[in-house]
Amino acid sequence: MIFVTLLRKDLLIELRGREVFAVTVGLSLMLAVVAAFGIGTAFLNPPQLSAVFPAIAWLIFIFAATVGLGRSLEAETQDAAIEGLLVAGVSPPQIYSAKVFSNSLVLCLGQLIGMCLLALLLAINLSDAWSALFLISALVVFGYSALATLLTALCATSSLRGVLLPLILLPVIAPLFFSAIELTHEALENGRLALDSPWLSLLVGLDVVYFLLGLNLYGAAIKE
Amino acid sequence: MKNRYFELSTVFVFLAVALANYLIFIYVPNERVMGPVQRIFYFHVAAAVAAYISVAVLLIASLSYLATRKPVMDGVSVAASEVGFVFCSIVMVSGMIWGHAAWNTFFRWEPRLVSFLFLWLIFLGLTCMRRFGDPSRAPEHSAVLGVIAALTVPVVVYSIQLLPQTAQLHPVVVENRGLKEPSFQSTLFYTMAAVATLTGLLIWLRTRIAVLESKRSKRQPTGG
Repeated sequence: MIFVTLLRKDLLIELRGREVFAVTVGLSLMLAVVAAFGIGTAFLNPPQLSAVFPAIAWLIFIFAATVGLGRSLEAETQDAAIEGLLVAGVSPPQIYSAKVFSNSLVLCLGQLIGMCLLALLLAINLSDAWSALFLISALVVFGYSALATLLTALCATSSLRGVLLPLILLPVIAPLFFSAIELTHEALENGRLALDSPWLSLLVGLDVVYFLLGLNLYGAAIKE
Repeated sequence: MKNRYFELSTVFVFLAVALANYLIFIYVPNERVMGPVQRIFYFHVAAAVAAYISVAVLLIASLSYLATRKPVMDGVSVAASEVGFVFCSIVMVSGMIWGHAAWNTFFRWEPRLVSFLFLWLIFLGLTCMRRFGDPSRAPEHSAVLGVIAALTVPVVVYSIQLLPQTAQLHPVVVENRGLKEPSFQSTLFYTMAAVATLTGLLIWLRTRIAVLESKRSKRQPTGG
């Protein structure tokens, strides 16, 4: 029940401010245009284009989402709002789970819009593989949110704020994006999710590990 | 008394490393194919072992700090991340010099090279966290990141091996029993042991400095 209330609160804050969503979609659009321009000058043929598409699409997501999430905890640190929640008897794992799910929802929406825009600009047909791409995006975005939400709490009070997040997040989240790129590539090639791929097991395993780490370490990250 | 042990250990490690240098540059004959460049191999492998030892120490120290909140454990985790960063840099630079001599290229997208590159980036992230993180919360925040970073290392090593190994170039000397000459083998294992003791000494020294630093900052709350 507390989880639902917290999730509602986090989504309401996002709905009113639209900070994470606007930054993620806006940056995705701008980066997609720059990437499409760069690729256009290289005159790649369609198979080459669909070979580079997954890496570029996920690179755009990493950049846009990391910038978007960098300031997402500021509403909580201002006026000691997060301490208020802790004093009210809400446990850190509950705060953490609500944040992970609300961030996942917003970022997943942003990621799907960003990927479709890039596909539109590069004339890549995603319609054959849309269900597989949706599932891969949901799994990757959940794992990303699970780790990024935890690490955002470490950066919230640093002198660099959101700028520190990519420096500490990108090296540790690399395996998640290796599997995202490989699975997206396989989905575009075969039009379905490769269920027997070791990358899928790695992706699901990482989602579980990151979420469990977050549940156990979020308290140490936010408590004074 | 503590200083006495430290001084004795320093003399012991100095002699051990000096003997390792004697073995590498004077005792071991030139390798038939590669010539003198092959001597980099002894430093390279020993530094890689030292980097992995630092990761293990980092994990244990971070977990113990989160469990006990003892300042000395925070000191050990600072020491392990900095010493690991130095040895990881030595692995990258010596590997690149060797790679340029053997393959005529400094870097290839090859599993072991990439996994060490990510290990180096992870250590860089840890250093940035210490440098730019919130000073009043540095021990907790660094311990949280230390646990995540240390657990990421085996995942990166595993996930890199799933990548297509079309460019598999790195020699697997020990598993393939490529060291036929007994003096090569004994020098390699002796150098590994000597550098491991050097790693232990450096972590000990850096821990002592970190503990003194934390004592000083407690006396001067405004910093200085």
